[in-house]
Amino acid sequence: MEGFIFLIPLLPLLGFFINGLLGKRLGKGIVSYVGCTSVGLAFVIALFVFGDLLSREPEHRLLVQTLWDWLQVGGLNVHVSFMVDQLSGVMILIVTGVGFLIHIYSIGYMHEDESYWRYFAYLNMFVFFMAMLVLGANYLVMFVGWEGVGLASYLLIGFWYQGNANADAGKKAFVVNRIGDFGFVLGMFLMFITFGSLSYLEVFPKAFHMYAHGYMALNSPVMVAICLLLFLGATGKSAQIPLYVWLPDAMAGPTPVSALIHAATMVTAGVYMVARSNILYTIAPTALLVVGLVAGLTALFAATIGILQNDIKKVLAYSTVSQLGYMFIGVGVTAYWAWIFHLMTHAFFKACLFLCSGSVIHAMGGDQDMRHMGGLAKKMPITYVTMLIATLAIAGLPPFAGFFSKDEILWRAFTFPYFPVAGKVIWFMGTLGAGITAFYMFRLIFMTFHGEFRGTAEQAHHLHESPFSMTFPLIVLATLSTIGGWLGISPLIGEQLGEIPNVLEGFLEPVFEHSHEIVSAAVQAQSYSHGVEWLLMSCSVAIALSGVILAYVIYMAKAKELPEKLAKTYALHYRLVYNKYYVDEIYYLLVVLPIYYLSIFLWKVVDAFCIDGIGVNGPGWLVKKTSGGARLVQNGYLQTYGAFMALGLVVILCYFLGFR
Amino acid sequence: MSEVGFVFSLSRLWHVAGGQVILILAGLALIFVDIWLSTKHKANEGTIMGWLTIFALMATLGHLVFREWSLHDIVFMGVFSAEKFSVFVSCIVLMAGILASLMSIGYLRNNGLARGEYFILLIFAVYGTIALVQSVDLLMMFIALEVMSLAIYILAAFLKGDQKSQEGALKYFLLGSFGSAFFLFGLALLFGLTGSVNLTVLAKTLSVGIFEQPAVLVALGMIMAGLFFKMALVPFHMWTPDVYEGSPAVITGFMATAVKAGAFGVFVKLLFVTFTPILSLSGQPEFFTTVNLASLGAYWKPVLWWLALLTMFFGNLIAVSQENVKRMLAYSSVAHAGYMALGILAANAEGRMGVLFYLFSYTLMNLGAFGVLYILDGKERGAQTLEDYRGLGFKYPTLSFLMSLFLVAMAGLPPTAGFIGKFYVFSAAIKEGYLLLAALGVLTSVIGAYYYLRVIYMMYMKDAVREITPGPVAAPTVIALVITALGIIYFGILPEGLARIATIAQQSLAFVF
Repeated sequence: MEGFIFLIPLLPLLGFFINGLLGKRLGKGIVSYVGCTSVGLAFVIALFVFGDLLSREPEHRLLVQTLWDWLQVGGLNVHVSFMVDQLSGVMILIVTGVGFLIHIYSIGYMHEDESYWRYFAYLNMFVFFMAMLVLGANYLVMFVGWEGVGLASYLLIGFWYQGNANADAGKKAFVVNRIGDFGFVLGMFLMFITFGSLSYLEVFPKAFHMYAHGYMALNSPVMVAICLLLFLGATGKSAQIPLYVWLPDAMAGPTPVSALIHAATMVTAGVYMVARSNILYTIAPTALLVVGLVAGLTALFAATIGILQNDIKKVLAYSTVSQLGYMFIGVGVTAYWAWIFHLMTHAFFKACLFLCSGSVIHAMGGDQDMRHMGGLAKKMPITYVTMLIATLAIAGLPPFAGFFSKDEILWRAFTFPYFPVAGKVIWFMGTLGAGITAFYMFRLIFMTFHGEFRGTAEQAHHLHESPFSMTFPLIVLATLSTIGGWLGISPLIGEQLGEIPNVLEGFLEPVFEHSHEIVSAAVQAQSYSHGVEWLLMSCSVAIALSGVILAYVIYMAKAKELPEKLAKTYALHYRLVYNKYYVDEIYYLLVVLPIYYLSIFLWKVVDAFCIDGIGVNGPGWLVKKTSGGARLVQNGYLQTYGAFMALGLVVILCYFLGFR
Repeated sequence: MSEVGFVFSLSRLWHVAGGQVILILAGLALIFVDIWLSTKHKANEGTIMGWLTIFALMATLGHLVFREWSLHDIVFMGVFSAEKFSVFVSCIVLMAGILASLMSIGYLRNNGLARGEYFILLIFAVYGTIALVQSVDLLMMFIALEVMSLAIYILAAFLKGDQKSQEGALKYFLLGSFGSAFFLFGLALLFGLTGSVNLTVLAKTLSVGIFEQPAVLVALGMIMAGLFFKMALVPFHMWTPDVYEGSPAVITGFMATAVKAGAFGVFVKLLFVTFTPILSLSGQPEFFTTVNLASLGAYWKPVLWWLALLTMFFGNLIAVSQENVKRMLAYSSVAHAGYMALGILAANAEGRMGVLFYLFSYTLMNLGAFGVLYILDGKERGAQTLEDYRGLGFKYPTLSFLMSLFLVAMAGLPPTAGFIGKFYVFSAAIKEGYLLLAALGVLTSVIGAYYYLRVIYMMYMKDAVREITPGPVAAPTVIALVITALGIIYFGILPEGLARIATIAQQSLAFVF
């Protein structure tokens, strides 16, 4: 099936061209047909390719398709080629599969929009670039996808460009991502200088052999630098501290976009890139420590902000930031397979949550404020049930998907081989964050679906369950959120329940083989008994449960004045968290303003006055004046012309004959 | 040179100068055809004569490309030679002639001038130019120069009753006589000194001792001045604006390309065969001594340095303040001569190649521009000023787009052939150490970009002030415009093939005999 890989990105690209160029004339029916079919077919092809992968021996599970030579400059030789191994295989299935569901959902969600065709064109373009990112067999192809999804994200955040705020949010996402890209590009340069290549199949074996044969020490500075630069890129794309600020604002886009791009797929690109480069990171434990700590901090920090948000999508946005933190914890503590496990379950339950919130917003006539909602469970049963399932999953309660993946990550953090102490700190942050997550997610459920309806009479009249094209993806995703976790069940539980194997780990492990060799050779991992693992597991379940109960007490149990009371008692803390720790304001003060004033200076003084005024217009003025003067010589008189010729000849002859 | 070269033989004449023979015969035959046409088919006289001319020129081109290009015996009686350099330049001239003829059919119709002698004169002008380039005999060179010039003088005056046309032609004639006189005087001096007018014999004779005599230097200066007149280098350029503005638009295009190509070709040939020969590379022992002549470079190179600078500078500078697009293009053609002079100054293989490439691409873009210009003009001098070009971009999108393309090519922007040509001559000059001149040249081309782009600015960014009435677009003109536009883009993207041919062509100067 190698020969068919290129179809996976190509089909959405075709869809993009058809919808983008002809969409206006085609009518909504054909546009949705083209948009969904292209992605659906891509999903089917991805399934076939994946099937081919499964049918092979574990050590031969690598499909490469090279299309053409792209660049050949000096030592740099870049092919446009695609690679499917276990990692990209799982990832492309998630991208095209979830993408397909969200395309279908969009038919219902966007059906009244004027720019329906433009929406589907952008969405197809996104899937194309995402496929490039995932399937690329070298960093440059990945970077093309990386930039492309950034573009698609920018266009879709600002999709309703009539609102200034939306356009600003798009710009913010774009600019913040540029900062990350700067790191990514520098990392690529450094990688090319170090390894002489950008292809995965050359860089990784080379790095491993250089390490294995002693040419490169653990923690060698160049590797740490490469990894940290790449991680900077990842913090931009995957919304980690310090570059997470764009993601909450990105919720200005249509809700399906938030689900697909800003929850399930694009934002995981950064984690994907880090996991792709797992060998490089394993050789640079310091970089791993940075990744792990930043991730743990992000997971906790973003969760606390989520507590006091009133916009239903903002809550989900901060929870995404927080969950991405968990994924990064996974890669940071060398639990590479656990990362993709969580990515998968997260894609299911977070996409489900977003689509449910979309369904709610749809019913509310565009209102996103949870303070206006309440009691929606009766009006929208399917949405309610599916959202509840997804919430249970994200809260980490067994037996839903989130429990298995989150727990695996936290357990691996606890047993972090390189830095055992830091690992415990990360574990603590993660577990605490998980409790907070359970709290704010159930706050969302209670505020939205329980109690009395607090909106206007008109809204109450309008409330309805969404059409089937919207509820169908919800049901599929909720089902996946329920059972998805069993794919990567912890061996501990699996044994208890009767030999349920951990399919996912076994399948993914060959990709990370070299990394594990490096780790086990470098440090003697501390071993823990099963008792400890059981203890930690029940601990995190207990914390999550207490989060749920706390939310119930505060928002449901007849203590209506309790939230306000708490807010008054802890006014300072409340304001701090409510305003998201003033991070945006601090960035504005420290980064945006200085750059703004510098650019004003450069514009007014350097550009307008020095360059334009003196440098450009000055000579221009001079040329015009001289030109006007010089044309006077051309006075039309034959005598003058002849005289000039004669003069010219005389000068030449004088020169020749030595009067120099 | 072998003695065989001086023996007359018809087959040899046909092989070496067959193109010229075809042109003369065609020209003479067309005179009679025209007499017949003007009595029987008055209405279609211009069109039929035009197509017959194109046919004759195509036949000549075929002969040049398929026969003369691959010739081994290249000299006829010590008068003409068909080495690849001459053939290449002749092909450029023929290309200009064919394009000009194609456009002339429409031009003459638009101006109500459909008279057959126009095309006959055009054929003789082409003939004269080709003979000029192919001759290796100073006397023949002079005769050819006059044949070419006389035909052009009349063509320049072809707009009867138009004052500017008459005035320009007269000025051209008088000043041209001046230039011819310079050339003839230089020739006479050389003949007096050496007893020969053959380029290679001159090279051999001069190289043995006498080349630094004042008389030789005066002769060189005179000949240079005479040719600079045709090449329109400052200060011998003064005639160009008046003549180019006055002449029929298509003839202006032809003058700026074919005549210029001829003048540049013959100048390069004279320089590198006789005065600073690369003959010494030919492997023939008798020419080894001509290496001496390289010291003449110390004389002509500084002169050319200054003239190239002045030409680039004044050509571009004065073009800035022109309000009439045709006149602006006249100055721009002066400026282009300056860039080509840069290639000659470099005096290396790449420089000569660059000059050939430049001439080729310049022919395409300049004739293309004049083709669009005459259509927009309607009737000559109908709409030539910058003001007239305001807002054309949206009313006549195709014509405006073509005009923009040609202007962009002249400004030397990629991906057009204009950029490649400039690149070659500049890099050749830099290779020879003329860094300052190249830098100044690039600066002047910035000035050039200003006035070229200003026309585009007028077309697309300004609203029309007055209604203009472009003439009908004739089918032959469409062919010519398509050829020029495609050529400019093709050779801008894939210049390698043409550059390789031009390199071979310039090498042949070492093997004239």
